[in-house]
Amino acid sequence: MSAIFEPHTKHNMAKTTTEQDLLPPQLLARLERLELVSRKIFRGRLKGERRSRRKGQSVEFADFRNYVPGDDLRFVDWNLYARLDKLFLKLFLEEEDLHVYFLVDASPSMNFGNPTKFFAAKQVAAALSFVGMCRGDRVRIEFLGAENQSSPVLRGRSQLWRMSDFVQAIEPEQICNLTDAVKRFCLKNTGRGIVVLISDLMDKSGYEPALRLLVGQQMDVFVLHMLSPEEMDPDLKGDLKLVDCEDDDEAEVSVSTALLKKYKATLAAYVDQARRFCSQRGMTYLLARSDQGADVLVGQYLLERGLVR
Amino acid sequence: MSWINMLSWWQWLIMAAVPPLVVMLYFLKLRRVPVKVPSTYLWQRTIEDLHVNSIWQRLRKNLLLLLQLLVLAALILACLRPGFRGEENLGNRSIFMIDNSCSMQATDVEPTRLASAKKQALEMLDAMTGSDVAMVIAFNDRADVKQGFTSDRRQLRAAIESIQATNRTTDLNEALRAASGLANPGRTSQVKDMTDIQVADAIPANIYILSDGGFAAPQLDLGNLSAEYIPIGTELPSNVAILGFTVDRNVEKTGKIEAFARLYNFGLEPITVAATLSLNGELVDSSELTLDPESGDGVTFPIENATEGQLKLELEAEDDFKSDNVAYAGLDPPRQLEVVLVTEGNVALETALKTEYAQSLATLRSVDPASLNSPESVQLAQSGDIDLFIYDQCAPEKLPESNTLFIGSMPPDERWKASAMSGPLFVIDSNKAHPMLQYVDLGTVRIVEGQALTLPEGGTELVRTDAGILAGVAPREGYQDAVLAMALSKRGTDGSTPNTDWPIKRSFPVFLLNSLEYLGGAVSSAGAKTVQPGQPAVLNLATRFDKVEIEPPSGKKVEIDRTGQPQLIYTQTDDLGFYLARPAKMDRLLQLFTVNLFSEQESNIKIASEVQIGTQAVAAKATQSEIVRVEYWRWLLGLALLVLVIEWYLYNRRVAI
Repeated sequence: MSAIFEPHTKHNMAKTTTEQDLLPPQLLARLERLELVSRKIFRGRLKGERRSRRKGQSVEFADFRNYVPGDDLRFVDWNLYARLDKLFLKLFLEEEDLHVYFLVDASPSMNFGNPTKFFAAKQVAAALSFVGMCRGDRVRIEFLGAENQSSPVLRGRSQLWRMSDFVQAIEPEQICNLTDAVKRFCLKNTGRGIVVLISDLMDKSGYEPALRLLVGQQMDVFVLHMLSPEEMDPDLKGDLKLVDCEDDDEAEVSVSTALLKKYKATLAAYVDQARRFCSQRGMTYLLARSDQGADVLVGQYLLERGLVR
Repeated sequence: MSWINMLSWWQWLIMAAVPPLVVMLYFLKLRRVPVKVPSTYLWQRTIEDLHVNSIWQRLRKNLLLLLQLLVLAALILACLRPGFRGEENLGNRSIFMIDNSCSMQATDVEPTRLASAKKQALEMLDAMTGSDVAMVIAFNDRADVKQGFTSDRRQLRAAIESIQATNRTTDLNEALRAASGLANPGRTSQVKDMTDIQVADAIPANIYILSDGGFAAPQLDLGNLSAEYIPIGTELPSNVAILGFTVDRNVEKTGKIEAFARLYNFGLEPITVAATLSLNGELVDSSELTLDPESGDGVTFPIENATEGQLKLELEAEDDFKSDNVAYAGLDPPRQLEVVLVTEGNVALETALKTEYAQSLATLRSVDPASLNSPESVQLAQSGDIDLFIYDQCAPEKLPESNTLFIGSMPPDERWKASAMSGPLFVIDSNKAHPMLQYVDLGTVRIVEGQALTLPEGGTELVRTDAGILAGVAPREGYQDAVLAMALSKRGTDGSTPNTDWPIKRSFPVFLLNSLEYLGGAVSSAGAKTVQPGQPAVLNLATRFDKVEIEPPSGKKVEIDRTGQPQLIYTQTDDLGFYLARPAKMDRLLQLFTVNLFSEQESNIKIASEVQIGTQAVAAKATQSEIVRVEYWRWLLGLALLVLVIEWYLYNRRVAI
């Protein structure tokens, strides 16, 4: 487990770790009892464990309606016909599956922190995928990079190992533009569903166009803003030359109490702006710390904030 | 508030370069540590506004740099010496006359009077305003203009600081003449010369005499000068001095010497002193005596079996002035005088010069007047080896390089003049104070005939008769010529007849002995010549040594070329102690002389309450405080130090704002 926590190292990740690292058994046990919450009800293609607005074949009664010629006689309520001498058709709620997409930012900036933000993002994505898979949702995990790496559609608990193998194999890629990556995703996936974007939103060209694209898909968008403790509360001292890991941009700073205060204010404003941007557009914004751990993040934090129940 | 510029323009240039240098160093010293971060996005946004005027922002944010600049500012201000002027202004032309005579070495004010005088002068210098000019004169028995009129404080300061203590006595005359040069320009012109007009306007000046007042009243009109006397020292110092120290041979006992010292207590308290005499560095005798306030006493040390050496007398006394607590006396080796008697034959003279005592003093050789002009005699006369020539009724063509005594004849020197023979003569007066006439009674001497002398300038009358001066002595380039203008016996064709009955009187051999001692050299005194510090010492040395080496007490030998002169004048007598004259590169001691203070004026170190200059009495100024400015540079230095400490604290605590 420790190897994957070490930042800046690529080769010590994934291969040597097991799925237990990503999703420990006790976490899996907790996750089995959860389900993803969507504020919108979408139509799925296959029968799932999710009630749909569509009436269909299931065991859960929904309503009656008058029989019209051509209806399937199997759904006529004969008991009612006997009492009232009228033909009524029994309607059942259709149980449908749900499309759940996890978009994980795989830019190098995610590869920071202890554990890295990327690891935390993968862990959350895997955990939530597992929740979705257990509920029969159609889950797809896509890593946003120069070339998006997308998992096949995963459905059912049996796909856990496939999913975790895929997730663990992914490493932070070269520099990518969040908007471009999201655009590529949107072009490929036109269906409705839930999109959970896990990113640090540190894109110098701005995260807003990317989020607008997702909103345009009419998807239920959750933005999980993943920040490392080092970003939220930097432990820096002295005169430093800060080098951006993505574009080697430099910022010369003389760290002082005042500067740190100002940085935190800037960060707070940035987070607040993102939250406001999301809420204005019907997205759910969630701020997460990379050092919280998947069990806390999914089992408590996201539970409290309504992404799962 | 006033400022004094302590630095010259180029020093200010350097100083001005320091603050930018500190700021530059501050930027240079930033060796930023590269740190990789996920994104500089937020940081860039954070420091975005700091980039506006980023240099000033950095300066504003950096407390350490500000503190460093504050330290520098305090130091620069300190260099400007801010302060408040005293209540009284110095005039715009000041002359600081600083006494550096021997008495200024007194320690009744810490550390010495001279140091105190210099300190006060420097403080007064600080009270000058920018346009004021000043002059610095150090004076003892001569004046030394250390710095002419200038407004350059640094030059004046350097001039004052360069003044060194001397062992010399004090005389204000020369210093005042130097000071009054510009103030009283007419003074140096020839008053009688009608064409000599005053070309410069008189410029009044203030004289500040920083002295203990131990000098004779100078006879000079101050004219446009206004004098202020700033006494240096205390009114009740204690001092015991050796005012005299001589060594005499005991006439009766050969080889026995007596050293005599005169001591004086200038203090107002009785004092007990131990006088220690050492010969060639070895203790000979010691004596303890108590001196009453303002009174003197003598102390005598008999010395057995000493013929030559260096005698040093030291007083062990806790007083304020040490230079007069030691005295030096050289014990010259007894020496046979070389005396040449030029006579055709004179029983009286020859008999008187052959007494036992006279023979112990001198080796006599007789020369016939006929052979006076022979080359041997001329060479002998000019060699300087002979101490005394006695010419009996004869005279050489040229005076010898030695002392002479002419009896019944005149020296070949036109300065000496004599009247025609007259007689009989009666002695009416004799100069008994003169060493040649000590114990000589001429009252009963009868003289048949003689001449009346006219003495050269500087001559001393010895015997006067009713006709005029019968005998006299006069200096000649360091030698003494004595003339007795009567013959002892008149020579005729029928032999000689007595001219006076003096030869048969007891006073005659005594006179000749006195003449041998006085003209032949101060043999009986046994003590070597002594002079006061700074006075020239005249040495009569044998001419056969062309170069003479003088070893002063400091040990730094000086070689002097005599250039054939029989006399040698040595002027570098500033140090107290023994001076040894030797032939160059030889060990033989030719002559020893000593330099002693022996000055009542210098030893009396009580400060004068007023000094008399010409007809004007200048009272001591009571206090210095009103003309001395109050300085703040020490506070500024203290502030700089404090800021430095704060900076150090902040640096170590890494306190940042």
